[in-house]
Amino acid sequence: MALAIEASGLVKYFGGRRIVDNVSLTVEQGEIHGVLGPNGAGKTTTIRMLLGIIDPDRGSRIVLGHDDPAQAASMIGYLPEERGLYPAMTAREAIAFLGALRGLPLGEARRRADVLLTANGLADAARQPIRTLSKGMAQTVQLLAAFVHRPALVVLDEPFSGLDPLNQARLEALILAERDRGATIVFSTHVMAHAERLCEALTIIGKGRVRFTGSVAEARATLRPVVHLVTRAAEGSWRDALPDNSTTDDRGWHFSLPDEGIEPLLTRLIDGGAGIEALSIERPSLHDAFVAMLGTDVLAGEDDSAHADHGAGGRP
Amino acid sequence: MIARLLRTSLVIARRDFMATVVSRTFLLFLAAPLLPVLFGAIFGAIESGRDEADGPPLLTLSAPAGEASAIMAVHRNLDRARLAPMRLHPMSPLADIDDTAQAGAMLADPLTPMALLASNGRRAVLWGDEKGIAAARAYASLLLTQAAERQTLSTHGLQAAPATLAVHRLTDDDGQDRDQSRERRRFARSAQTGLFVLTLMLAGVLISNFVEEKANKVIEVLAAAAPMPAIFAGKLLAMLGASLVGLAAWGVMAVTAFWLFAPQMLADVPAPAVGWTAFALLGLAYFTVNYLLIGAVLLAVGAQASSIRQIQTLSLPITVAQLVLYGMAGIALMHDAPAVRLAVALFPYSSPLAMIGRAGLSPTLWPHLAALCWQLLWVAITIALAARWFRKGVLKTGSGGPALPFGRRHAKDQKSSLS
Repeated sequence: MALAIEASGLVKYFGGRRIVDNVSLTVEQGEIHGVLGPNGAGKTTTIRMLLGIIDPDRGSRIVLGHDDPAQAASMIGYLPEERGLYPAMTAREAIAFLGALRGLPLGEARRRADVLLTANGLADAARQPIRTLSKGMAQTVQLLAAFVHRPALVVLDEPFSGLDPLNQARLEALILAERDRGATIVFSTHVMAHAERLCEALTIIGKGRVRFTGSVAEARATLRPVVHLVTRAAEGSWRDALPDNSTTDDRGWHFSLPDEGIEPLLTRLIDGGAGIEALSIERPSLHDAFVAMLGTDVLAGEDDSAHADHGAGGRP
Repeated sequence: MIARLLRTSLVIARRDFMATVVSRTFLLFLAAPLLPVLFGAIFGAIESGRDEADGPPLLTLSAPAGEASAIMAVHRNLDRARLAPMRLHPMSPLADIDDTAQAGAMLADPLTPMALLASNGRRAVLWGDEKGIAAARAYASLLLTQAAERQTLSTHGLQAAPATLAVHRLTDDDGQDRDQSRERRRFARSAQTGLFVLTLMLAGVLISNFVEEKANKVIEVLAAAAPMPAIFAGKLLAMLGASLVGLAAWGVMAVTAFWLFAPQMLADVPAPAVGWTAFALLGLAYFTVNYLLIGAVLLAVGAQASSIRQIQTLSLPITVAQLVLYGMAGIALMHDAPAVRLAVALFPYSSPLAMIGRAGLSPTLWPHLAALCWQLLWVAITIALAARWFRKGVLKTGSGGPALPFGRRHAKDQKSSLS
């Protein structure tokens, strides 16, 4: 499969701090790729480097076959984290303007803007100034502006933030429709539910470094499934069969699924007279995997000096 | 790459131009020069009213039609030669020139004449208080004498023939017209002043031109979609276009006003050395490049600022810098040393001012072509540097840090917007 993005060893410093630390990222054409990480992880900086808005201090990136992402600008759609449209422009003109910037003839951009607005229930808002639209409508307009030139690569930075559940669902549908059209989608988020539903591949970033690359299933597989057990007997020999990592609370016993599987354990529990009332195996969510991967980073706080470079000018 | 640069520049220019021109505030912009004209007219009228009251003293004339006409003709001749010591205002003849009541009524006219010259064709009387009679007596006698002579000649079918006056102008040894040279130098300086003032007024807005994009966060989208030099060039072109629309409107208004109210003023302006047509074209060209040069610098500096207060603080030093350029152009005009003139013409940011001055003085055209090419090259260089500075200072790329002291704030803002 051809690659839409191939970034290698990206490094970026701001004010002596290494904000992005040796990030490598590959995105296959036609996939939905999530860039996940907590606030301040370096997601936006990485995305801005991939788009050529800023240049890395070190490392390289090839976007849609171009060493300089600016060369591929007409094939990229972008929704920045900080949404921005000219408030006095009408929704139709705003979409057409951004389409024209990406290389569409203005007339064609206007025609497509009308089609997109109508298809997304915003036909009535087409000739209204952006400043009169609701936040959700304005955000949808900007999203449509990122799609208007039918880009090969769509980059969305925190696209779901600030949207109500209905608009989030609409956005998910739009993303899937773009993928079905053949576009590659890269989006950043720190809300795991969206990534879990949409992404075919993930890059998890924490404190400027890549912590995981792979599919959602692979991310979840980094944690063992958790077994929840409720017994009638409080004491007995069956307790010797429980794994070492078992914990207990009001709801029963909890432990990781043993490497050998559940059946041998089940036999020992029955033989030991546990009197099994309930037993469930819970597969870890992406959220669990994410917290397990990055929880220590968050607890460590932002003052971790591991990324500070106090050398000459803080530059490599 | 250049095609994309041009295309995106024009897209941005079109948006900015339409946003500027298709707005109610642009009407105010167009009307701005009318305000001083309006105030000038109001205060001029007030001043002229005061002149009426406080100007040269007024002598009222009351005489039969023929004599009054002769006296007025004499007065007009003297007035044209700037020899009339007072104004003369004709009124209807008195039934009795010795009637104190009638004379008093005329002297009580709202125009407050200082004296009344009353004649019945055979005899004349000068009415007035002591001060008025003292001031008007000699002039009244002169008018009566001259008018009588004129009437006498007229009675015999004769007319005073005007003496023929030959005119010879003094010229210097080189055969150059000294007056013309002086006039052209004055004209050249006026042209520099006009170019300086127009650029100062019209390009000033560019310093705050990025405020909207930064405030609305549009800059991130623009930076991802278009090369930064194209964004700068587009903004410059848009504001240049809006300024040219304004200039065209004001030009039409000014020419119409002169044509209607003071056509002789246009005729009295000395022709520039290159001729009016070439001068008009060069004026337009130099305004364009001067606007682009100064505008690119203003845009570059203003784009670094992160608040309106910083922009306001920057305005004064930038205005002073423009005054320095204007001063340099003036020195080049007045200085005879070719090296000084060349230096000011070569320094890109004073070059348009220096060269418009030259257009007023020298008829040679080719240096203007060379100068315009040189200046346009510097427009491109300035835009490229401005874009680079913006990427480093505001978007934070490469190894450059904030170039202005207040840029540190950007670093803080930037940090807070990460991820």
